[in-house]
Amino acid sequence: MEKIVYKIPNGKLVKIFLESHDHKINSIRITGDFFMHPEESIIELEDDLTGLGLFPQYIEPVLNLFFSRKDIEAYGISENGLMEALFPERRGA
Amino acid sequence: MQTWRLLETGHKKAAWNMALDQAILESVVAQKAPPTLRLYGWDPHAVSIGYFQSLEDEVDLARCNEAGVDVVRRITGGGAVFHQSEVTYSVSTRLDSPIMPSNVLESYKVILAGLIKGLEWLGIEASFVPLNDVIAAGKKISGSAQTRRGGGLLQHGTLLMNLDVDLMFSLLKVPEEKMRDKLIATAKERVTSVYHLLGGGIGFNDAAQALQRGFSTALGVTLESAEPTEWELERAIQIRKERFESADWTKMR
Repeated sequence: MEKIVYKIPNGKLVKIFLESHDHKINSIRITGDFFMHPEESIIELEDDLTGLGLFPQYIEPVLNLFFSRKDIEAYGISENGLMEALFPERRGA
Repeated sequence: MQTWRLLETGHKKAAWNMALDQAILESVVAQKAPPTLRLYGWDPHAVSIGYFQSLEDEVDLARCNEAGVDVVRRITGGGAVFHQSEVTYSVSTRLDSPIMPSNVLESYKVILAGLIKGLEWLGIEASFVPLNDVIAAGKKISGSAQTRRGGGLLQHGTLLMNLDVDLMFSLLKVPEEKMRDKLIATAKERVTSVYHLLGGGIGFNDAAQALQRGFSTALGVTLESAEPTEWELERAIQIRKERFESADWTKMR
């Protein structure tokens, strides 16, 4: 289990617990002191990400779709923030 | 002028406090009760963690156990809080309330105006720092968290009366042990309390009364003292058992 700790610029500290094999996400848990309404939607996001290849081209569209949803409001966590957490080469860009 | 209900429910266990907040929200949403301001405390002291936080990663459960400190997961997001010497408030209202903005940030601002007005009654000048903090003398004196469900809003938060930062950090996990002293020093620089600003002499009841006045003035509502309804108490007992006392819930993340 890998633990990624990343302070999202202008956002909250996320701690992601990630299990991957051959660059495929077996399980992912996104934790931290952020806000998301409705709260349970984080489980949908984690389910959506599970099974995906751990590459930006697979992850980014899923995050984009999720954070664009009209029924979800997020504070302190974002598509970019999670991309930066998962792919360090995106940080400071 | 709208009439809101005021509930003063005393110092209770963490699981009960969180269950009652949820039951009140459900009751207000279903229009079984008017919009409600609740004021309460925690006995024993407790650590609450945000909905999205990892229990094991944030809380030293063994130390909490040794110290007799309750641990509970909230239904609201945000960070870990050590509830020791504070007045806790919760506001439950329907989202179609004419005085509550639908925008989350704006609704924090409206509700926290009540807390800021309450601090003013105590002689403390404070201001809102988005998203969810109130600062006085440049330091945090209050943190809040909000959830929205079923067409209603629950916001709960703290007014720090005093804080033992050393004890707090002995209960929370820190990234590295060698960072502990630095974190304690930083927290002492960044967090303040009614006691630190005014010295002694202001108790829980004084602060609670100031908050009642503050919320009433800032929200433009009349507060009517009441007790939780039978429905709310029964529902809270059920929620406490099924959710807040359940290991599945507490250890969910």
